[in-house]
Amino acid sequence: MASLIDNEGYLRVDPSILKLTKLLLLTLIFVSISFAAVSSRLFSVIRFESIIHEFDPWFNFRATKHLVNTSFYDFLNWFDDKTWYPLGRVTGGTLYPGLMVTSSVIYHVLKFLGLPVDIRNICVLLAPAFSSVTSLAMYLLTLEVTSSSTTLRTKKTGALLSAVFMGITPGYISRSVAGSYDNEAIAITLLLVTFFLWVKSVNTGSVFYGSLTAVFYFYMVSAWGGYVFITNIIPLHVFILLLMGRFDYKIYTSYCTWYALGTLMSMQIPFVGFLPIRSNDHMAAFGVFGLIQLVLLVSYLKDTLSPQKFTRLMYAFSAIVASVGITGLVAATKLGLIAPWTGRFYSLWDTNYAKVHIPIIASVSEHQPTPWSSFFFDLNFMIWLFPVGVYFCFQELSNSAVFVIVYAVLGSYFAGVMVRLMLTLAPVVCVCAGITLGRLFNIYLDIREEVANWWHDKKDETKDSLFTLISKMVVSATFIFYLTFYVQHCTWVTSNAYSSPSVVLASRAPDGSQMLIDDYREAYYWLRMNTPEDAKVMAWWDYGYQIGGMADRTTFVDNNTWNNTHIATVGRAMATSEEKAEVIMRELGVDYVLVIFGGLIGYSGDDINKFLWMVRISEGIWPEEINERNYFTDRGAYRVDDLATDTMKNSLMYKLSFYRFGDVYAGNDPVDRVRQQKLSANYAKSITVDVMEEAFTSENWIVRIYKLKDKDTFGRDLIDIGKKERKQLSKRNKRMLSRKKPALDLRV
Amino acid sequence: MFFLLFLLTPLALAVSSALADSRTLVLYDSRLPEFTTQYSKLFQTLESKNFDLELGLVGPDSPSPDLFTNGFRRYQNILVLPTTSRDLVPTETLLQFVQDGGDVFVISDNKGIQTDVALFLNELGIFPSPKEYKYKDYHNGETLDDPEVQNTVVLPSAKSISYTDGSVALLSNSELLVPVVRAPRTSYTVNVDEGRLSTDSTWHSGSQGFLFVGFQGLNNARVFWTGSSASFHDASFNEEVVDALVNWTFQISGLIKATSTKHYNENGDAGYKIKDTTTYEIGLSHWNGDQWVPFKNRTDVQLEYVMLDPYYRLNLVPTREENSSQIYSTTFQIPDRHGMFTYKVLYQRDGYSFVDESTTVPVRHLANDEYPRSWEITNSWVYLSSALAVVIGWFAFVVLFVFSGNKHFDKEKTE
Repeated sequence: MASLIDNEGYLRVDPSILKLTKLLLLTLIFVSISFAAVSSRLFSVIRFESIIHEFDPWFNFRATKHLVNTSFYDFLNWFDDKTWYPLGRVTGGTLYPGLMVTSSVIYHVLKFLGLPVDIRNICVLLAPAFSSVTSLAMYLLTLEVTSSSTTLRTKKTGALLSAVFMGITPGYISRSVAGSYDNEAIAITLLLVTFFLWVKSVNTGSVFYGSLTAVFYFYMVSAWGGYVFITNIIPLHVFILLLMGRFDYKIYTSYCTWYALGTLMSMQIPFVGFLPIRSNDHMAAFGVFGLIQLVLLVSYLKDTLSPQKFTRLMYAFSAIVASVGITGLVAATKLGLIAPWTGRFYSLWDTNYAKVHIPIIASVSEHQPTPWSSFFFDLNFMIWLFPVGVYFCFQELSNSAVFVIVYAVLGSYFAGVMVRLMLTLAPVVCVCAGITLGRLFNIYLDIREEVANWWHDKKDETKDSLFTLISKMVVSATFIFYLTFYVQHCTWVTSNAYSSPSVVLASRAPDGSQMLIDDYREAYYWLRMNTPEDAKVMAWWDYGYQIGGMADRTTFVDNNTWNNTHIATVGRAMATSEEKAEVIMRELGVDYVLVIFGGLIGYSGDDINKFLWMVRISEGIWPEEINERNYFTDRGAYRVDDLATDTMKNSLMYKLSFYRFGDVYAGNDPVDRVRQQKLSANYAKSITVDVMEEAFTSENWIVRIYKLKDKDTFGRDLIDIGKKERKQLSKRNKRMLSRKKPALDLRV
Repeated sequence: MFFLLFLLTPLALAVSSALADSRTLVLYDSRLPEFTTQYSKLFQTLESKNFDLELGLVGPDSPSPDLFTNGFRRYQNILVLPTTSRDLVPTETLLQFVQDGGDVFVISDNKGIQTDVALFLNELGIFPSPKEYKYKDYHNGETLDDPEVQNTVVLPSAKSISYTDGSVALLSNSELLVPVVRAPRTSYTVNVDEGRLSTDSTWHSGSQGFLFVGFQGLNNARVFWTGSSASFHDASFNEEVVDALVNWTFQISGLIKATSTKHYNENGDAGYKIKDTTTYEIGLSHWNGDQWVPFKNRTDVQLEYVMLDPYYRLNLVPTREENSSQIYSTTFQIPDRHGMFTYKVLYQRDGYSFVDESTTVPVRHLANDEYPRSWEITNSWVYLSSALAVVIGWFAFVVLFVFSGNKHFDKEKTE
């Protein structure tokens, strides 16, 4: 008999069956979480199609194809001659290979199992697949934090809730919808696994878990540049524990194991190389490593020496250590042994730094400071559960609770600095929200006592317990409502804000039906089919990866942005006049120029709106030639109509965008729908392009492609020819012209 | 009937154009009476070079000749004799003709140059003086003894050139122009309608002007202009000059081409990596009027190795002859810089066809297994030995620690 009713009236069940039921329930819950996590990320596939999104994923996809088609070593030594022409890019040595290797392993395993899945589908669905692993890792992390702290213990409620939160929080979904094949897709999973293992190894003091932490740290390093976050948060955790006087052998063992193994392993990634011992980003980890050795030595000396001698020794010792340390650091920086503070690092502290000093960093929209509303947008009600969770951690202050606090502080700060770092904040918010709600539900959903009172009809306590029951029910109901609302919110945000591939745009036709704007792919396909295979296409760097991935043509600059000068050269060609641009383009070897123009249908992410960044970036290098002020009218307005400044009107980008724009309006005044400015029909007609010829314009004019004309056979200036053709002299005037003595420079 | 007249005995040296197409259109003004009698020697010369002549009559009533049928060029060459006709061939058509690879020889004089042709020449940078302007040289008369020949590829030698009824051209600074004969220092052109001599009334003065000017487009099509028909008349036919000028303009002399280009890695690899040694070869041939022969004895053929800027600019040296072409080559070490490098030979010498050959190759960085191993670098020995010392020291420590502690523990246990 597995169960029976005992003489007190309680149901007695065999413990093994209970365990089995628990396991079954747990499995069921995880299956449901995975299902929810994966399915909410599939909006984009269902709405659009199985397609790689945005910009960076196109590079990752192209790299993955390269890896799948060649060997691992070929991939590692890959010199990409189709990007950054004519510099080329040492792609194998300048990327984080983790993502590509993961997909290619999955691809080969599936193939081995007799399931030949197209590599594109693997890439598209990798992020959703990993999101379910993430929620599992989140469960483990929260469980580890809660179960190792007495007051935070909430059975498994908290852990399960945090797993649910993590599964569908928009803050994470924004980077992991199907098709968003980016490094973050697997990096967040690895981040959480590493943190879980770290907390576990601090709690157990085991070398095994320390080594596992290092292994996953290595995986993380191979996958995302954000690994620096781990590199700094773990030493900070240890440092704070040191200050709290919590130092023990458990911490010592796990930190030394992690640091030694993790650093050595991370140096195996070519892109990282010697950074862990040279870059200042990694100095904290190194410093703490040295510090705990000193602490160990000091605690040994304390045991052996007399207190007086020990104090004297301590003064001398700390003075020496401090002076040697600081002079060493300064000297090494001065000598260039360790990398100087990078711009990206400064922009973490001072949000205005990038805007002033490094336009290329500031020009990326995801590097902008976070607006307040996006915290609620991405995290919903967890944003106010988060401080409560942190408060609970402060109450307990166990080693693992301190970790959560450290993570919460750092995560909030960085999320406030850069929009995209919301991604690293989301997990700790989920942990804290899970802890809070877990604790709340443990108390308020536990109505056993009240029910028992009522059941056994204890008269004196029934009235009290009825009120308790009601208050408990109200609180629980409120939070269950919030939970329901959370799901609603997440689904709504995911489907409306984060599921657009941005390669295909959706809009509404006047009758309300959905209309897909597929200009990008139309244009890239045109390039692929109609231009020579070695044609070189100049476009602003945003489109570099897409041109490489979809059109398979050589590009000059792309989203990798490793060479600011090269980007500035392209920006200069776009910002300067046709004459000067022609020289630059011939030097570079340009065949085609691709511009994005949204004026016709009102697509605001076009090149004219990004134009100021091109101006700023090239001004950084050629301040005497390009000046941002000249692109604004005297009153400081950014105009593209008849009132635009001459510099603006003469710039190549402007001409390429608005050339023949008037033709669409058949004699009426054309309107730029993005800038909401009206050009007069006559003026629109006067916009000419002489050094290039229009090769292709997509259906909605979003993508316009121009071909650079060959040099004139007769050695004439292309712009002069154009001017002459437009003049349309009468025969008589022409005859007169041929009889007039030309004004020539002396022939040399 | 003209054809019969011109099918006379060919001249001694039979030369022909390197191009298979020899269709030639000769445009002349039907109103000029002297035409039929004055150009027989010129036509003989052309016939002897196997040009397939067609005569185009230009007059006030005749339609302008078609240079294209269905967009295809009908002729390879056009010879424009002095005409005063208002409409000849539209300037754009002439430009298109040359753009498409056709050659044009224009002979004009001071009786006036046809407007379309003048505008066409203006586009190229040649500005012939119009009809009011007369060529004057009170020191030498209208015959140039020992003229100043500027380009011996086009005109190897000229003893004396008669330049009657001449017009003179001013030239722009276009690099594609090939000035052949410069006006004498003592000459000038003056507008006879304006009595006074001033800067406005003179077209050229002294060596500012040019009498014979060639032009070669980037596509190697050639145009030639001269301002006097005297050398082409039967009366004062200058065989030496006419022969040379016709040869150059109609692609018989001054023709070179690249027959082959080749580059390879000296160590036999298919691609290139930094610091490899590479050899570049280019084969050049020269048309001698009959066949392609090696283009020999050049010391000025240069190779540029370019990535944005030239990393090398090397003189190519002649190495061997191969299939009627002279191979020029050079060997050099690729710089320590990866990227897309272009081997570029741009051989543009006045009078010769342009040779513009470029090949772009990727030069990759060192692969992970191509760096020297650590022990091959002497500098690393100090690090290697210290690492080794730590390993040995640690091992020794472990051994000592494990075995030296035994006694102590045993004692404790027994106690």
